[in-house]
Amino acid sequence: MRRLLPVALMIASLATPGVAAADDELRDILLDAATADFHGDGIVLCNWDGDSAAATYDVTRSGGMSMVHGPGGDVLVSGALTAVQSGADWYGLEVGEWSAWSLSDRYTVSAPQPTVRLGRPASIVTVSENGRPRARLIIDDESTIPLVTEILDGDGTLFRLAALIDFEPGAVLDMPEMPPLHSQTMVMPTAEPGSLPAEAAGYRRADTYAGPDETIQAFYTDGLFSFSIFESERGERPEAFDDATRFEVEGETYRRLVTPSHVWVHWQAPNRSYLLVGDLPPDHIEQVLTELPEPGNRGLFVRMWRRLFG
Amino acid sequence: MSHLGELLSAHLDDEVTPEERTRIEAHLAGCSECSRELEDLDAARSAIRTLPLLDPPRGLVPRPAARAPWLRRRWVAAAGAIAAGALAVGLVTAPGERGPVFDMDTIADQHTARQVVDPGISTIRGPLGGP
Repeated sequence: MRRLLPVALMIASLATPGVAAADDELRDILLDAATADFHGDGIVLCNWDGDSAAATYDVTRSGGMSMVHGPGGDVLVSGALTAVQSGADWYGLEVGEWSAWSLSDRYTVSAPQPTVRLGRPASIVTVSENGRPRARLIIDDESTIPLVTEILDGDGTLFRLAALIDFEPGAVLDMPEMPPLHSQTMVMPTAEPGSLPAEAAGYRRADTYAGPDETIQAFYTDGLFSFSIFESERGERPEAFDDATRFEVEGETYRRLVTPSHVWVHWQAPNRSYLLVGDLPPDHIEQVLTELPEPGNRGLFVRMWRRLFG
Repeated sequence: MSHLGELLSAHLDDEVTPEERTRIEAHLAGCSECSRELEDLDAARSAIRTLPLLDPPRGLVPRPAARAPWLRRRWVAAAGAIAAGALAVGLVTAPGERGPVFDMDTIADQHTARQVVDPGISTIRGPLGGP
């Protein structure tokens, strides 16, 4: 099981026809970085037009297993099994199937520029999207681990920064074992995509899963960024969004939350509720939203009826 | 000799006593005028029975509501007021949107579980869980 993820990534890189058009160098950077062993302490912060959040975290990856202590709790990843600590217990989520990873050909990387980071030889690479800077990485030359990742919004402003402040490459001998799981859920694919399109703003709907509480999870990715949209029958708005920032895209109003590693967007169509969560930058989110079901309210009579009779 | 008069109708309706019937039949045997009248009554009654039944024209027969229209209007108004009040109370006190509520913790975990099998930008620096 511990070796499952690297093998899957290698297979994905070899078996996916779409990657031939993508930037091979960027693809190699991502594949190497996703499987290298290291331990690090870092800080991650995110900012979207004044909505900001920051957190410290530490991560250990060894033998295909990753252990992360972060603001949302502890996460342990081994292959397709993600274990999450909740209180004193751990519970697991295992993805049953997933489609092969491929990298969009809209990204290219610049030639590496030598630098020094944390006292170690490193290289700066800029990831561009259709010729415009989208991310800057400072990569440890020896381990291929990114010591700094900066994600830029469409106007070039910094959207997210993740930087390791303490770093140790190589295998970790005292990697913890997978803890006993209080419960384990298999996340199974479903053929029902709901009302969600096969592609949105350059992101392809890679997989669709049955989500919790009869929701549908559609996972979109362009190979670099990713997001999930959870769709359900129209229901109550989560309390976390009561005071969330409202923003408009093409005249439609949405609510957003910014956490260190993700952005959340919630909206309601007349009969459905949607929740987007992902690591994509704001201008991508806005483009994606224009290609998804629009927000809308029910008619007066329907609202009165459902208010009285459910 | 007096004629039978109203006894003829009673006789046709079989509403006479046996003694009366004996006396009527004896009279009819000797009185051609009463016999003719009996035949006319019988024919008229048969013709009436063949007529269709019709509802009386509106207003021909006074109805209770027509006798007290103010009473009907007051009941309708009262019922309407009660219904409107119940609707208003329901709209105020009933919960608004019903249906599923996204559990953000679970959703964050499920997104992370899928995200980490790809070598994306979050995976390479270490996935963070939770909302």
